[in-house]
Amino acid sequence: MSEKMLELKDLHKTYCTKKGAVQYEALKGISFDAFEGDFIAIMGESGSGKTTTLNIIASLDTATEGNVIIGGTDISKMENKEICRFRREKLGFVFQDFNLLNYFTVKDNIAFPMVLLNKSKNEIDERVNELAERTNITGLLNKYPYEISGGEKQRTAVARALVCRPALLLADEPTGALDSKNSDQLMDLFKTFNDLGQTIIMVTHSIKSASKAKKVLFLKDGVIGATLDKETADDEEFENVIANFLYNVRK
Amino acid sequence: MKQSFWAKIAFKNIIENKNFYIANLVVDVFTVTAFYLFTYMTLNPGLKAAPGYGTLIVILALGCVFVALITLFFKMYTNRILSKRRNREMGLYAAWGLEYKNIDSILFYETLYIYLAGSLLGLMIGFVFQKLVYNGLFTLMKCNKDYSAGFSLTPVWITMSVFIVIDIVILVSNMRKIRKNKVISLLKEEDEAALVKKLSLLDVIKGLFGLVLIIGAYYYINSSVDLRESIEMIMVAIGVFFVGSFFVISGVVVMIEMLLKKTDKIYYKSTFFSTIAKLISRTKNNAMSLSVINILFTCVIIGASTTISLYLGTQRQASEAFKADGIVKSGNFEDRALSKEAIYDAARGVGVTVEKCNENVLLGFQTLFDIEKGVYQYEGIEAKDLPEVIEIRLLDDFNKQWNENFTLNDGEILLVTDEDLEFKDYETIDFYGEKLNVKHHFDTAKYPGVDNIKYAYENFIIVQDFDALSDLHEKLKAIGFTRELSFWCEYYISGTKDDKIKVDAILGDTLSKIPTVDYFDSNATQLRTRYARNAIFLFLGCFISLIFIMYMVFIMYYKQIEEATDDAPNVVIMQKIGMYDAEIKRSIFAENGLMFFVPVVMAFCHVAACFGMMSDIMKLFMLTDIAFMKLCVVLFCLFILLVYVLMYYGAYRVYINIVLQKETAPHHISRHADPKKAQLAKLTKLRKG
Repeated sequence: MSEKMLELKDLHKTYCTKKGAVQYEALKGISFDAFEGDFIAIMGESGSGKTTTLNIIASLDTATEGNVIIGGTDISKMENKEICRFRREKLGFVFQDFNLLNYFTVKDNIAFPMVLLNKSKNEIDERVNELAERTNITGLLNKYPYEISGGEKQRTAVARALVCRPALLLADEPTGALDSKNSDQLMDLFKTFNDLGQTIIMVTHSIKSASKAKKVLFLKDGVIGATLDKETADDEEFENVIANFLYNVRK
Repeated sequence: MKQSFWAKIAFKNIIENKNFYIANLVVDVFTVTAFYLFTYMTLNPGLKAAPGYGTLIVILALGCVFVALITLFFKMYTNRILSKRRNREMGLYAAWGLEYKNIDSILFYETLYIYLAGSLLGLMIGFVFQKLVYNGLFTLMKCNKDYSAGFSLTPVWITMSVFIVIDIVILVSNMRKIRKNKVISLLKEEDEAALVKKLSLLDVIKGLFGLVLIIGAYYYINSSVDLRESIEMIMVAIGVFFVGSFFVISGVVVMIEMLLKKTDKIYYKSTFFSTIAKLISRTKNNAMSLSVINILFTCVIIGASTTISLYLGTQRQASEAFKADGIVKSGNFEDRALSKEAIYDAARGVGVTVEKCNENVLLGFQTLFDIEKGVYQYEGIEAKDLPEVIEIRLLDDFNKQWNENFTLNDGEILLVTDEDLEFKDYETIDFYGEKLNVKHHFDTAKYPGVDNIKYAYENFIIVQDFDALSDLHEKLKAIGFTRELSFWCEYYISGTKDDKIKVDAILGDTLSKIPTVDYFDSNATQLRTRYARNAIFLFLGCFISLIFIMYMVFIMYYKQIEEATDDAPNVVIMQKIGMYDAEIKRSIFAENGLMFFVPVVMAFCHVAACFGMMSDIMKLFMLTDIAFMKLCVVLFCLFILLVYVLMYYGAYRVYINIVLQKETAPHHISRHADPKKAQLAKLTKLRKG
């Protein structure tokens, strides 16, 4: 039995205007678990609460109610400094708009989280080269982000997210800014890392991207509306299952 | 559309960009105030009461011109920084379909509002402070102040006209730039500035060239022996420093940062990693601003510290002016008795005694001595760095002055030559065709002139008696010389400093009634005129330094806002990766510190290299106490460094406040941290409105 990596317990999130006059409930009680080696895709329409859920898991935002337990640690009770430490050691992020730092080279962008953890230069070099090879960006290491394509940027972002061997890789619409070829390459990359044991939670609009996951959660109006398990289906079959499900829901 | 619509848009634009415009307005207000006060003082009839009125007016008028020119220069420069950001907005207007004439209208109204606000506020502050400045200046000048007429329209109109011309020049250049550029390049101007400019071999060569320029300028300013060239040379050197600093900052400094990046032990530390990477990008992008700060800082130290030491050292300068208490010169030697009597009468009138009165009948003029041949001649007198003068004096006067007992026979002379010129031992010299036998030859180290400051190479020929002098005079007249014999007397009196001032006043009054007295000067007169002149210098030095400091603050503040706005999304990324706020603050503190203190360190080097030249300039004003001047410069450097540190800390706080805004900080990281998106949202809102 795999170890429980993530546990969300009854998450609620309410946004208020400055004066508190208008309230908007983005999450109305989200609960689910993720185990080591899981690859979970979260789908849903705009405003369904998927990015909010991911931001709360990533400790970039706080829940109004409920708990987020990652690797046995309840991050909702952590102080700011502890959260930063936790984030740099245990979590990896991939965002739609890459979030690379323009003044760093590709290599430095990948190395940055390791430098923050005071790793040695040799350790950094070894790990960066390993990931660059896996993500196929070895030839780009000395370039700046504005000198490379969108797909290359996203692969750099993946390498950076994985450089500290995080317990959880979180991805927010990672293929949102990519063309289909680059999207496929990126999802293959995710799958490869997942096969190697990396736990991944990904928010996406793309059925094709979601079909690479082992499980898909459908969010609607701040609650989990349905869950689909891939089980023994291959990617293509699972893509059809997701598509049919969405077709039926819309119908 | 009605003009009122564009006027409204322009007003809203200013409000939307208030962070940038407030700094601009503050500098505008200050420069208008400074210019108004300069003009007000220059045109104030009360100044006529000050000693050396003519010189003071010239100095103040030059100060006005200088302030106008530096204002034009800096406003154009700061406008260049401002317009980079504004052009994106103008590009958006163009993209929405506004015609150029509409954009021109917006720019016109924006300029008009800023001009009116700056001029009116500046003038109002000027009105409030004009009495204070007037009284302050006259107190510094240590002369009677008679403040009258609070308001005069002339300085107001001059100030408003000068600033409207400056603003029109800038407005036209902005309009031309927008018309010249394509919409897409206006929209992308800011993005291009955010790119990391890589260090090329050419940059390194330029950097090394800059270093050579600066070292060359250091050598240049320390190589001259001619004091009169000092001011001119220091101006040239500052120009070279500016160009050199720009190349050094964009080449050598970036190269050093690159080397730091290559040094794994330093670069791969969490404290330096982001600091060094960002510095490489920021230093090159900001090389021009940093060079401007460097030059402003250098000018502030040189300008303010020299004028402060000049003013504080006035007493020293006046005491240093002559070895005697005073000098009277008359164009007619036959009036010597009258002049002498006036000195004794004035002393008696105050109740003090004349301790010594050295009289000389003389014939003096500019000449050139051919050292090899021992010939005095007229040809080529401009050949020397200082003029060479000869004075023919009487043996009696010489013996009395120096308590000597020399005797001379017919045709014999005593020759006293300048200690700074190399002379041979001559048996005879040729004085304009006349052979004179040199009985003794001395130099001015033994028999110095009365002036403490060296205006010329001085030579003296001491002749046997008045007949010998007249004989020489006649011979010179025969070959075309027009100079007449004159009389010169230096006196020493007993009593206190106040007594000497009183004697000076009485004597000045009496001598003014003797038409042949063409020159009267004393240490007491020197004190009065020097206080007046030095106070004006101090006034100019401090005001211009304040203007420079304002521009320095503006550039630093503006750069911080601009870069912080650009850096805010990067900081959000850093936070997402897990960097603590404290780490981010430490990194920004180091990064900004290194960037903003590079020009300061360079400025201190420039000042140290210019010190010799600064002390030479002070010597021109008879401030020969170099230790005192050094103390003034060092204290001022410490003071301005403290001011700069405070300015830097203020600018750093501005930066931190922008990048670590509550809504962008994690746990609570904003979803709209991109300032460009925010700007676009604001504009869209404005458009809808």
